[in-house]
Amino acid sequence: MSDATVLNLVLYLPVLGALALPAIPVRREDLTRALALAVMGLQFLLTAYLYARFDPAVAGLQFETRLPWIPSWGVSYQIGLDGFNVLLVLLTAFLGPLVVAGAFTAIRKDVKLFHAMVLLLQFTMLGTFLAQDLFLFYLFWEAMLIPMFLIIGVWGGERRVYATVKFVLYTAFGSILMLGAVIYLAYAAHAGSGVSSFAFADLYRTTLPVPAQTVLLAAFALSFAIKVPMVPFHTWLPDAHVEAPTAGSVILAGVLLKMGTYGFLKLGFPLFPDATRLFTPAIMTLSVVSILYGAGLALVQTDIKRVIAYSSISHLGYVMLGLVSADLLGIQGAILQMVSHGLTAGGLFLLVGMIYERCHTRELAAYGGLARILPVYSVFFMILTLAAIGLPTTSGFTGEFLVLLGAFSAAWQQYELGAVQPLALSGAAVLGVVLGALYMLRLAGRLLFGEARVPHQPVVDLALREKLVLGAIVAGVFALGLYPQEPLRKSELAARQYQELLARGVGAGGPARAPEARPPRPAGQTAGKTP
Amino acid sequence: MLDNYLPVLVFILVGILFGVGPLVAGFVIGPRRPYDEKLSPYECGFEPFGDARAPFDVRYYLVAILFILFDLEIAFLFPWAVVLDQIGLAGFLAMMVFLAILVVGFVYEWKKGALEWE
Amino acid sequence: MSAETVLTALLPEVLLLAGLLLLIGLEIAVPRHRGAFAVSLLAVAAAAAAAAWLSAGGSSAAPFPGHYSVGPDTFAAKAVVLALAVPVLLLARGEFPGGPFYPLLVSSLLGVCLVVSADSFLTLFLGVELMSIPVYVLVVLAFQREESAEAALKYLVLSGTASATFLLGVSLLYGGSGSLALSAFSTALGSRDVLATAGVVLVLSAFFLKAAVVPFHTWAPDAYEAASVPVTAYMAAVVKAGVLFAVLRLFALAPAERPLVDLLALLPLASMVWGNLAAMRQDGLRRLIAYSSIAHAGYLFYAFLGDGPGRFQAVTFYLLAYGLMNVLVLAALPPAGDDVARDRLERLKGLFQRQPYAAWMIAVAMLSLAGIPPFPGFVAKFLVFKNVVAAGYPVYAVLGLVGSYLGLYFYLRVIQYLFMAPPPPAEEASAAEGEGAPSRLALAATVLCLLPAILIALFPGWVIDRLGG
Repeated sequence: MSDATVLNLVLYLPVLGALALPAIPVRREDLTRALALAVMGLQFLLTAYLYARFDPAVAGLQFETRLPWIPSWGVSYQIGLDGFNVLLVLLTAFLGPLVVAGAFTAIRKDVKLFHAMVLLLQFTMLGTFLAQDLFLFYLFWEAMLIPMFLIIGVWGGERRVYATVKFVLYTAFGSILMLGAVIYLAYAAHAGSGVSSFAFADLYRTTLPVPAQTVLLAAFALSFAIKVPMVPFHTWLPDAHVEAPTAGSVILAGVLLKMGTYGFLKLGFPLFPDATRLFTPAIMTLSVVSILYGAGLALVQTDIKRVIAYSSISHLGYVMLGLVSADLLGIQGAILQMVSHGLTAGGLFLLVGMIYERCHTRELAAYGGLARILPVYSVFFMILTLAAIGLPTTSGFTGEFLVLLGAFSAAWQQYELGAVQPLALSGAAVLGVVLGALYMLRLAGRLLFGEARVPHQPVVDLALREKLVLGAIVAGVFALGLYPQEPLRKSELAARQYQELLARGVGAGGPARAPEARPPRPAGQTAGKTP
Repeated sequence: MLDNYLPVLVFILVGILFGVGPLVAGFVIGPRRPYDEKLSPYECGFEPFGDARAPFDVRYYLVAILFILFDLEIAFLFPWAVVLDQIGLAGFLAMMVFLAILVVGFVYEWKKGALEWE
Repeated sequence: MSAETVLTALLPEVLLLAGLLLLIGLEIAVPRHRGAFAVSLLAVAAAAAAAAWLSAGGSSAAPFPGHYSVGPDTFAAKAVVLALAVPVLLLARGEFPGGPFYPLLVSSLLGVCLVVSADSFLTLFLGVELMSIPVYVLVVLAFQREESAEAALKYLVLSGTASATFLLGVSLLYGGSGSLALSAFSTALGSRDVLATAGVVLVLSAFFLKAAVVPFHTWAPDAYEAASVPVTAYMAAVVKAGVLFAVLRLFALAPAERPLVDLLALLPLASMVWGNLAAMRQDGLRRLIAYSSIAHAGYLFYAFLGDGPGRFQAVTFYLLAYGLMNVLVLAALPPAGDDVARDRLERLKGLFQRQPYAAWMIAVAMLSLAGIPPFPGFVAKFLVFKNVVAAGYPVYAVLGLVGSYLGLYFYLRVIQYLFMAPPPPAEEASAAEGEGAPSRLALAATVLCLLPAILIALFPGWVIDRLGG
C-alpha cells in the first residue's frame, strides 16, 4: 500500500466507522464506543506512521493524491501532506481517540448518533487540513458545521440550542462571504491565466490587482477571524464552549479554532500578499487586542469553562501575531503554538469535564482544596496549567517564546525604518504572558488549594481510563516542550515557502521581509534556540 | 411600430361607440313616462318572487365548457377540410388521431355522467 | 421527415399520451379498477427512460419545424422532470388509490414536455396551460381542509392572470416582430423599443408569477398548504421546473443586458430575502416549503444573469438537486391522523427518537436546500453563483449569497426540532398517536430521491458534463 493510499485511508476511516455504526444494535453502547475508539486509534497510528515517513527535506506536497473531480471547472480531488498541515493533522488524529475515550461515561443519550457525529467531524476536520484544492477545502470547511451543530445542540448544557445556533450562524456568515470570494478568485485566476483551476498551487501563481486582493482578503479574513476567533468576532466562542459537552469543547478548542489560523497561514495571507501588507498593522493590532482582552476577561470569570474559553482567545492571538510577523521563527512558533494550544486547552477542557461529571457544576466558587481530595486530578491540572502559562520544558513555552522572538525581531527591523507601532504592540503582547500566568494561577489556586470543599460528596479520583487520556496529553505537552526540533524541522520549509509567497506580489518590497533579507537559519540552529 | 396598432385602436373606438352609442341615444331621445306598474319588476304576470340575481344551475357551466371544447374542434376541422386534398394521407391520419383522442375524452365524460341533466 | 424520426423525437410524449389514453380507457371500461397507479408509473418511468436514452444518444430533430424541436438538452431536461415525477407517484399511491389524480398528473407532465421543446409562443402557451390547468384541479382534489377550495381558486385566478399577461406580452412581441417564433423574445431583449421591452417585461412577469417570485408569490403558500402532500411535491418539484424550462426556452442563448438585468436580479433577490425571512415564522411544514420554494425561485432566476450556455446547465442541475430534496422531505414526513396534524412543524420535535430514518432524510433535505456542502444543493448554488460572477455581476452574486445565508436559520430550526427538542408534551400525544411509519412506497420514494442525490453529490462533474454547456 503506497503512502498516498494510507493518507486516503486516514481521511476516510472515520466515514467508514460512521457508516458501520448503524449496524450495531442500539443497546450495545459499549460496542459503539469500542468501534469509535478503534477507528480513531487506528487512524492515529496510521497518521503517526505517515508523520514518521514525512520527509522534512522535501518542499511541497508529499503522499499526494490528485484526481479530476469536476473537470469542466478545474476542480480536482487533491489531498496531501506538507509542512503547513502535517503537525495539525497529527494533532487532530492524536486528539481523536482521546475525545472518544474521554466521553465514555459523559455521553449517555443517543450514543450512536454522538459517535457518528464525532467521527464525521474528524473526517471534515482532517479533510479541511489535507485539501489542496480550494473547492474541496471549502466543502470540508463548511461541512464541519453540521456535526458540530449537533454535538453542541444535542448533548450540550442548558442553553445549548441558543449557543449552537449562534455558533453556526456566526461561522456561516463568514463562510458565505468567503464562498463569494472563492468563486471570484477562481474566476479571476481563470481570466488571468486562461486555466480553470481551484488548486492552491495554481492560485498561488496568480497575482491580482491590489483592490481586488483587498476585497478578497477581507472576505477570507472575516471568515477565518470568526473561526480563530479574533476580537471583535469572538462572542460566539464563550457560549459555544460553555454549552458544549466536554468532547465538543475539546474538539472546538483543540482543532476547530486552528482552522482559522491555518486558513490565514495557508490561504489568506499567501494568496493576497499585497493586501496582507496593507492589513498587517490592523491584524497585528487585533491580535494584540485579542491577547490582552482574552486574558483580561479570563481573569474575572466565575465559570471554569469560561476561563479556559477566554484563554483560548488570548493564546490564538499569539498565533496570529506570529503569522503576521512574517519572521521565520515567528511563523514556526505560530505553528507550534497551534499544536501546543490544542494539547493544553484540550486537556484542560477534559479536566473540567471530569470534575463536572462528578459534581455537576462549573462554578469556580463551589470548589477548593481539590489537591487534598483528588490528588491525581490535581497533578494533571497543575501540569496543564503550567503548560498553558508557558513554563519552560512544556510545549506552551516553545510556541509563545518563538512567536515573541519573531515578533520582536520583525518589529525591531521596522523600528529601524522608523515605525514604532509594531514594537509597541510586541511589547504589549509580552504583557499577555504575565496576564496569562495571573489568570491560570488564579484558577488553579482557587480550585486546587485553600479550604477543601466540593459541591457533591463523595468524589472519586480519576479512573484508569481518565488517567490514560490525560497521561497521553501530558506526554505530548512535554514531548513538544523538550524536543521541539523534530516538529520544527518538518514545518520549516513550509514556513519558508510562506515567507516567499508573502514577499511576492505587485508591490513586493516595502515593509514585508523577503527571506533573503536575513541570513537563513539551518534547521538545527532554529531549534537550538530553545531549551 | 405604434402605427401597426392604429387599426386596433380604431377598432376599439368603433366598438365602444357601437355599444355605448345606442344606449346613450335611447336614453336621450326615447320618451319616458314612468308610473308604478312600469317600474316594478316584470315576471310573467306573477308577483315577483326571489332575487333577480339568482345563481345559475351549475350544470350550465359544465355544458358551456363542453360546448367550447367541441366548438373549437370544429374550428380545427374547417381549415383541415379545405386543404385536405393537398395534405394527403398523413394529414388525414393526423386529424384522425386527434379526433380519436377527442372521442376517448367524449366517451369518458359521457360515462362520468357529465351529459346527464338529472 | 419520416414517421419513424417523428415518433422517436416524440417518444417520451407518445409514451405519456399512450399512458393517458390507457388510463382514461380503463376508467371508461372497467368500473372501480385498481390499475391507475401501475399504468401511470409505468408510463412515466418509460418516458423518463426514453428521454434519458435519447439524450445520451445525442439525437436531435425538429418534427414540427418552427414549433417544436428536440435535442440532447431538451431530452435531458425531460428526463429530469419525468424522473422527479416517479417518486411523486409513489407518494400518491396511499393518498389516491384511483380516480382522476393519475390522468391529471400525466397530462400535466405532458404539458411540461411540450414546454421543454417549444419553439413558438403557440406551443409554449399550449404547454404551459396543459401543465397548469390539471394542477388547479389537483390542488383541490384531496379537499382535506376548508381552505383548499379558496386556495385552489386563488391559484386558478392568479395563474389565469399570468396567462393573460403572457398573452398580452406575446401579442406585443408579435406586433413588433411579426413572428410567433420564440426568438422574437430573445431579439426583443436587446431592443430599445418601448413595445418590445413592454412585451418582454409582461412575459417575464407572467413567469415570475407562475414560479412564485416576489411580489407575485402570494398564491404559493396557500396553494402548497391546501394541496395534499404528493401534489405539493409535484408543484414544488415538477411545475416549478416546467416554468423555469419555459423561461430557458425563451431566453435561449441571448445575454441579459441592462436595464433588464436589474429586473432579473432585484426581483429574485427580493424573493430570496422575503422567502427566507417569511419562512422563519412558519409553523406548518408545507408553508415552510412554499416560502423556501419562493426563495429558491430567486436563485433559479439568478442563473439567467449568467451567460447563455451556462444557464441550461445551472438551471437543470439546480432543479434536479432542489426537486429531489423537496420530494424527499415530503416523502419522509411521517403520516398522521389528519392532514393538518401531519403538517405541523411542532410534530417533528424529537422525531429522531421515534423514527431515526425519517428524521435523517428530512435533515439531509433541509441541509441540501440550505446549500450546505457536501449535499447536492451546494454544488447547485455554487454553479449558479459562479455563472453570475463570470458574467460580471460580482455585487449581485454577493447580495444573493447573503440572501441565501438568511435561509440558514429556518432550515437549522427544523433540524433542531428533529434532534434537539424533546417530543411534544402529553396534550399533543393525541396528535402524535396517529403518527405511523412511512408506507413502504413512501420509503421507496425516499430511496429514489436519496440515491441520485448521493450520486450527484459524489460526482457532480459527471452530471455537469452530461448537461452540455
